[in-house]
Formats: sequence, C-alpha cells, structure tokens
Amino acid sequence: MDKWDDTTTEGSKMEQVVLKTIPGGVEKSRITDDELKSLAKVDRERAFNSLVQRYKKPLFYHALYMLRKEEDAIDVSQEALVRAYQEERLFDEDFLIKAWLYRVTTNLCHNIMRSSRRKKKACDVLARDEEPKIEATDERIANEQTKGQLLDALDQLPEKDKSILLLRYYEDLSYKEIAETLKCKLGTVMSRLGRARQRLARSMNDAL
Amino acid sequence: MPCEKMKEKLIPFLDQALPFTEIAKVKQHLKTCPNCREIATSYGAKPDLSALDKDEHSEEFWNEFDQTLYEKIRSREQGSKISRLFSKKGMKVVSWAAAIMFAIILPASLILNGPKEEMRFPNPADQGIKFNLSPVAQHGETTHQFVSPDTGPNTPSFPTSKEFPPPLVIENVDYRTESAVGLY
Repeated sequence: MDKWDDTTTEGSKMEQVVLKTIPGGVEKSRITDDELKSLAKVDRERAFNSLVQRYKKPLFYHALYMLRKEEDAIDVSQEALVRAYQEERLFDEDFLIKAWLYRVTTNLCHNIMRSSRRKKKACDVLARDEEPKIEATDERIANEQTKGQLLDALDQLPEKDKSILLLRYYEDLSYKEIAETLKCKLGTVMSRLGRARQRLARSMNDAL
Repeated sequence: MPCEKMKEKLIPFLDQALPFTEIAKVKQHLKTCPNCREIATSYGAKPDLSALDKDEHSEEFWNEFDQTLYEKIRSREQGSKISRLFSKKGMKVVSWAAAIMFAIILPASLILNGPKEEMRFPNPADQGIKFNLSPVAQHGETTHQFVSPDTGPNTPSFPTSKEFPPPLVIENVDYRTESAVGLY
C-alpha cells in the first residue's frame, strides 16, 4: 500500500498503532507535540501523518474565519501542512510546532487578504457573497444570527486584530504561544489584544 | 503595583487567566486607579467566539482534503528533487564532478594524442634557397649591411631608431609605405 493512501480513517488507525510505541500514548485521544517529536525519531512519515490529523481542522477553521472563503481556507491550510512536511527542523526538540503552523497559516491568510483587498478595490465585490455555504439545520439556525453578527464584527477589524482574537479566543492559544506565533513580545501581545478587544466591542455595538 | 505593569496584567485578568495571588493585586490596583479602571472597562468582556463552529464539515470533505494534501506533497517532493540539483548543495556536487572530469580527461587526452605540431613557415634555408643580398638604400651616409648566408655569419645587426635612415624618396613615392606622399 502506498504510504500516502493514509487518509483520515486510515490515518487515525495508524496513529493508534504508532501510539503504542509511546508510553501512555494509547490512552490519550490526541497526540501532543512532544509525543509527535518522539514518534518522529522512530518513523518521521507516521509522525507527520499524525500531525496532519491533529492540526488540519484547527488550521482550516482558523483560515476559514480569517478569509471567509472555503477554497482559500483549504489552500492555505494545505499549504501550511505541505511546508511543514518540507521543514527539516519540524520535529527538532526545540521546535515549536503549534506556533510555527499558526504563524505560517496566519501569514498566508494575510497575503491572501492583502491581494483580495486589492481586487476588491478594483471590482468592489462584497466578500459576504462568498461566505462558505453551510447546510442550514435546525440546530444551526439558532446560532446563525449570533454567528453572523460576530463574523460581521470581526470583518470590520484590521487583519492583525482579527488574527490575534481568533488565535486567543477561538484557537485557545496561550499568550506565550501567540507571542511565538506572531514573533513579538508578550507585552505587545497584551497591548494588541487589548486594542483588538476594544475595536471588537465597538464593532459589535455598531452591528447592534 | 505600578500602572505600567498593570497593562500587561489586565488582559489575563479579564480572561481569568491570572494566578490567584496576582488577581488580588490587580483588584486592589483597580480600586485605587481610575485610569486603569477605565482601560479595563474599554476592553470589554472576554470575547465569546464559541458561536464559530469547530467542525461543520463531513468526513467526506476531510477525506478529500487529505487526498489533495498528500497529492500536493507528492508533487512538491518530485519538484524538489529536481530543484535540489540546482540548490547550493547540488551545485557543489555538480561543480566537483565537473572539476574531477576536467582533471582526469584533459591530461588523459593530451597523453593519448600527444602535443599538436606547431604551425611553422618553411625555412628557406632548410630548403637550400640562399639569399645573396647586396646593400641597398644608398641615400644617406649610413647603409645597412644584410649579411647573406654565403658571405658571412648569420648575425644581422639592426639599426637603432637614431641610426635609421630617412626614407628613400624617388619621384615622390615613399617605398616604405608604398603610398604617394608629398615632397619631403
């Protein structure tokens, strides 16, 4: 079997098999970054497969809420994972996998947002029209209004504010991880978060 | 606690991410400092982004996502094999190989073929042709002796620029340049 035929279900099965090589690994539902590093010493390809299973969803949704366009979010999250595969230091002891992945994803999102803003200026196309099409079930309808307001308010913010808010309050990254992701000091993270929160509050009030 | 330090603590305080001991200090400061209190109020409540779904896509979507991802990795890997050749390391290998080839092939071909003969003009003396030149240019005081192989040792003496005679002018023709010139 081709090693790359390891899709979601196969991948998770393989992850379980591989986790047996790590003490206490089987009990855990999700493999941690440190476990990925020790797994990579045994088999790099499998460690990478596990990394994909762990990060593909958070990266995709981070990109999706940044860009509000599904195709772009797929491209961005896949590109981040491809770059991770090519990164030689990925499983080094001192390498911060999570921060690195979010940094690459965020930067790619910023690039796309910048270029689409240029296009938008030329064509004056509303990004709202290109919102991801999500099947409207009964459960979702109740949340749609809040979600819509929240997304509208987030869209009003500058890119940097939007990304830092998503990293902290959607992805639950710690302040230190955000500092690593955005390559800035902890104090800068606090001040940027404060400013972003002020703007979001203002934007939410305007929406209401 | 000074206000400068408070700026770093306010967000974690509002996010309820501060240790218990720190919370008390921040609360104490906020009671006494209206400026920081105002800033804290402006930050608003902790943003609730829970309305944004975490996973709203089907398994089919994720299977397709994986397939495309691994296809991209595969194609990128093939591309990188070629580009590796032109990378710094690859170029180093290629240049070393070229240098070795040059160092081996060039001397080997020289040894096998031998040095190429130099192009030579036939020496008339070798072919039995003899010159019997008589002195020419009897214009000035100085004449030039060209010693023929018959008359003496083959050691022609060339005049220095000072000794060089003026050009022989006959009927306004400079035989040195073989072109018509004015009167000297």
